[in-house]
Amino acid sequence: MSTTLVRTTARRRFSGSGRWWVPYVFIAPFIVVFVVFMVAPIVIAIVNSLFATQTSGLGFGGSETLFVGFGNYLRAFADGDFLMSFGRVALYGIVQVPVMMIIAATLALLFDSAVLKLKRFFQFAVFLPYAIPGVIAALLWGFLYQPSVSPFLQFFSSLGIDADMLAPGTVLWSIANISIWSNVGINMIILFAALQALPREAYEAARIDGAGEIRIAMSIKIPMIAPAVLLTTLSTVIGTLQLFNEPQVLQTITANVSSDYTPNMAIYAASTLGGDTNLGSAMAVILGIATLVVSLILVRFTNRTPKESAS
Amino acid sequence: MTHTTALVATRRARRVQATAHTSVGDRPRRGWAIAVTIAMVVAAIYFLAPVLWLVIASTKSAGDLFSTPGFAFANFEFFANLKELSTYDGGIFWRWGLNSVIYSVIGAAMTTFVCAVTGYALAVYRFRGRGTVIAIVLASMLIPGTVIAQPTYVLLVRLGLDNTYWGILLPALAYPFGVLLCWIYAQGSVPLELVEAARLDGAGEFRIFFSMGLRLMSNGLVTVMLFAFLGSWNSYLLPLLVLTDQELMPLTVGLTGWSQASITIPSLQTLTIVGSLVSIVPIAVAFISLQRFWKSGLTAGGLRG
Amino acid sequence: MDATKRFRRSRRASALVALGAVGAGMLAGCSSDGDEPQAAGDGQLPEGGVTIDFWGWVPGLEELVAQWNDDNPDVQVEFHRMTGDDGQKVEAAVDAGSGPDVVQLSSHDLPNYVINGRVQDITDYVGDVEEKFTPASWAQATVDGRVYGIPQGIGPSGTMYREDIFADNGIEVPTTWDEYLDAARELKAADPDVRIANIASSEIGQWVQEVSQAGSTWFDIEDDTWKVSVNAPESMEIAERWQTLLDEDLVTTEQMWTPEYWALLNKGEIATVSYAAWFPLSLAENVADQAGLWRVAPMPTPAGSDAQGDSGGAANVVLKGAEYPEAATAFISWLNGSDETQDALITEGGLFVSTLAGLESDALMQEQDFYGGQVINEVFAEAAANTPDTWVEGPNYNTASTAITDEFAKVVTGKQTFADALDNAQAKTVADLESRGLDVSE
Repeated sequence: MSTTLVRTTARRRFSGSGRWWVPYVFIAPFIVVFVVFMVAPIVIAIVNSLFATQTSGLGFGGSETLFVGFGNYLRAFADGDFLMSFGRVALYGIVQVPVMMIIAATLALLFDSAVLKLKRFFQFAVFLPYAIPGVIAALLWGFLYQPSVSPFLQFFSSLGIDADMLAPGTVLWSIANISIWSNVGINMIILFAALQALPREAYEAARIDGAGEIRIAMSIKIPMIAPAVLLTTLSTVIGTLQLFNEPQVLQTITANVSSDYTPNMAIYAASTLGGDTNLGSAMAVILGIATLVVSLILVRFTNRTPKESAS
Repeated sequence: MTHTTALVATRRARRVQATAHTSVGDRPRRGWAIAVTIAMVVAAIYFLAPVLWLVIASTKSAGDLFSTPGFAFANFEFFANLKELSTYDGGIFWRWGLNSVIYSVIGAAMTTFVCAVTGYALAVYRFRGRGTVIAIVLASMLIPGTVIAQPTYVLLVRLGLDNTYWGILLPALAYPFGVLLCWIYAQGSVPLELVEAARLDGAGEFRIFFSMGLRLMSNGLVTVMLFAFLGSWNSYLLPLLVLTDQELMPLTVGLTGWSQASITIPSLQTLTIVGSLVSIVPIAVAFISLQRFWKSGLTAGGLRG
Repeated sequence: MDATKRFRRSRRASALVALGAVGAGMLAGCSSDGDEPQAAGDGQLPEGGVTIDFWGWVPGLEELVAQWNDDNPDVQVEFHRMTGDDGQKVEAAVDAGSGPDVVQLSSHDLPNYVINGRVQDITDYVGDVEEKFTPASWAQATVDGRVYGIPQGIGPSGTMYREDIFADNGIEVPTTWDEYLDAARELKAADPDVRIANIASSEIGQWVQEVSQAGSTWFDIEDDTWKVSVNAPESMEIAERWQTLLDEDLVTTEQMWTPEYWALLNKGEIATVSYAAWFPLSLAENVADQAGLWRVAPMPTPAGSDAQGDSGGAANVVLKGAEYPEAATAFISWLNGSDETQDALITEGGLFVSTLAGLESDALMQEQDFYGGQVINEVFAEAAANTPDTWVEGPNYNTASTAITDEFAKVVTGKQTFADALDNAQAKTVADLESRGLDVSE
């Protein structure tokens, strides 16, 4: 494309024009805040995780900070409840991420098809939950999960169904429900916008050939918006691993959510309730690395598949 | 002549066939339409029902709140509740609303500017370290925010920024996703020929950016600002850690605080509910008025393969 | 992916950046080192006066603070109502070098704060305000002989009960725990919808009060080491009783303070609540329709004892970062010790005050309509006098209580017994102390 040619020429020409410092001035603000507010805290967290606050005897003689290497990490891995919290969010993610993405994608495809009336209203309805900050949404659903307050549960019990949304086996999925309810909107919008940008010709041909709508959606539309799909899936996965707000709120109304139900809650419990920010930092680093690994796997996986399906 | 008639007949037959094809295709379409509409209505009910509950609950007084059925109205106390909401603790709720607006609108504007400047530079200039910056931006998007929340707080205290507006606004400026979007938009919407031409005309680099670059990227910038706005509006953990002064808190922290305090002060439960409803309104309005934007903004380049 | 390859190549640059950040990080990342408490001020206030940041949760504090501010233009107090996690926020803030000047602190947390250097020694500023308080409550605000705060209320226990439910079913109000079990069974037999009480796995205060009643404690100091006894024999006995109540379906198991819980009370499905002196006010507010039906009796006792329990009081402490500890001490001494504040603390705050004057005040000994005109605080005052002084505060009360509530949650869902829970919690508490380097024995 002609732009690429001009681009390289312009760039080559630019680097010799003498005002070499201009790009650096441009990127300076971002670099500064990035180093200060993203790099430094990560480094602090890592450094913190290598130390521990020790006191001795009865403790009234004050405390000191010692280097303990991987001691905090060993403690974290030895904590069965902490490991179980990872298992829990993994189980949660395996179910919640596909369900969320399928719902968001289906809705986006439905909106993209010409078939729907009142598109604006329905889009508004789907998006509205996202406008409610996560903590407030959790509070709201907290009310709706309590039989004495919730009109839904009262309706179900009048039909003879006694649904306990907060039982040990169901509370995880009640949390998933809150998360899906809150976040389908934003994911749907992103996918929808990407679909709208697709050139109609791409699938008109297939349509005339007689391909069904579903076939068109699966084989043409979705692969063509792969970056948007990756983006939304990735942010959903990261959000899942960092699950905190919803279980934290539900913890106050049910005994079935422990203080370390998710990794993030365990970190919070260790740092604030237990007062051990060093252990908390180690746990946070473990969580960060786990998130990074899962994300990279996901990116690798999606990068490979479109090439395969296009052939 | 028979030959031509035959041809015309075949063509006509084909046309008829084509129309028949489309009319056969129409029937499934209509069936589709009905099924789809039903699905959407069910979805809409799912998404809106809790909000409806919230609306109805906002009209009830504290006594009626849990003693009357959720979807039924009781004594209509909405305006009394609103009044209580506005006057409780010296009108702190509206202060929180103002703070949310400051953090979200002004914050998003500042963040978008930083992202725009950076994205533009990445797209237009070639300089040493450019690859590193892009790599770092991409990699940092995978870092979970909660890992850095606590150390960020400690850092802010050292900088003397805890419990200040800047303590919330400054960390938000580091928005790698926004930089990525701006980089993509700049690539797509700022043709280098124009930049070259402007340079040849004698314009300075900054002038080119401000008068030309920004304008060309404007659609994409709206998108970035929207994302940044939503991120700030929903932000809870960092403001919770950093702010202790009620006067500086955004709605998320303030309302959650009320909800927790409602254990000892029961009347706060009603206020939390009414407050939650009121806090939804600006976003709903913003969404409705900006609905036209997704189509143009989000499509410029980046999100399709 | 291209970017990842580039990332690996540009690691050097990133490393340089990170190194620079490490420098900043080392400065910011060092945790607090148990500093000396701030040097004592000389009591002189700067021109223009000072502002003291005060965090608390007792209702009605706003009005008292306003009163102080009117009378003391030089020492203005700013009040912040604490909720939920604010307690932990204070710790994080103080450790980071920021935070309020004065905070209302549960007495359980004081040793932990002292060990971590978060509070200032105010022994020199308290003057003779000690005379205003009960010896027991004053002891709760001192550690190792030094005064760190001014007591703000105690939590003697009592049992609030529905007189009409007992009367209608012909059941006698129990005075011992054995009688309590019998009454529980009788009640369930007489009315299958009603239970004698609710066990809330996360309301640690209801467990602590029985442990203290039984003359036991979680922590003790022996030969310069901490001794942990979460699963002491007395506690195991209580565990057995709670297990019986749970196994025989004699209790409901809602979390307290939820709409569910108040709904159960409002429907009359819970007959008693055993809790501290500040609870009757909450009960009256949330179950307003049952005014006149409730009474307060002494909590049932273990066999052969008339001891009562206490779930813990509070104190106002001066934190490490407070610049004017003397002025702060003057404020909290007035707030809690002065005769003119007692009434407000009692009626608005629902506090069971720790001052001698307050304990004898008319405001405390009021007839309560909700409780059928009973002077309920007589029961609590009696309880306060009969509480054993065996309970000792320890260095990681938070860890112990979180461990217990997490373990109890598993009991309520049937995964283990209360006895198992105590053993597990004991192990966690000991492990936590050991990891901090403290000397522990069991």
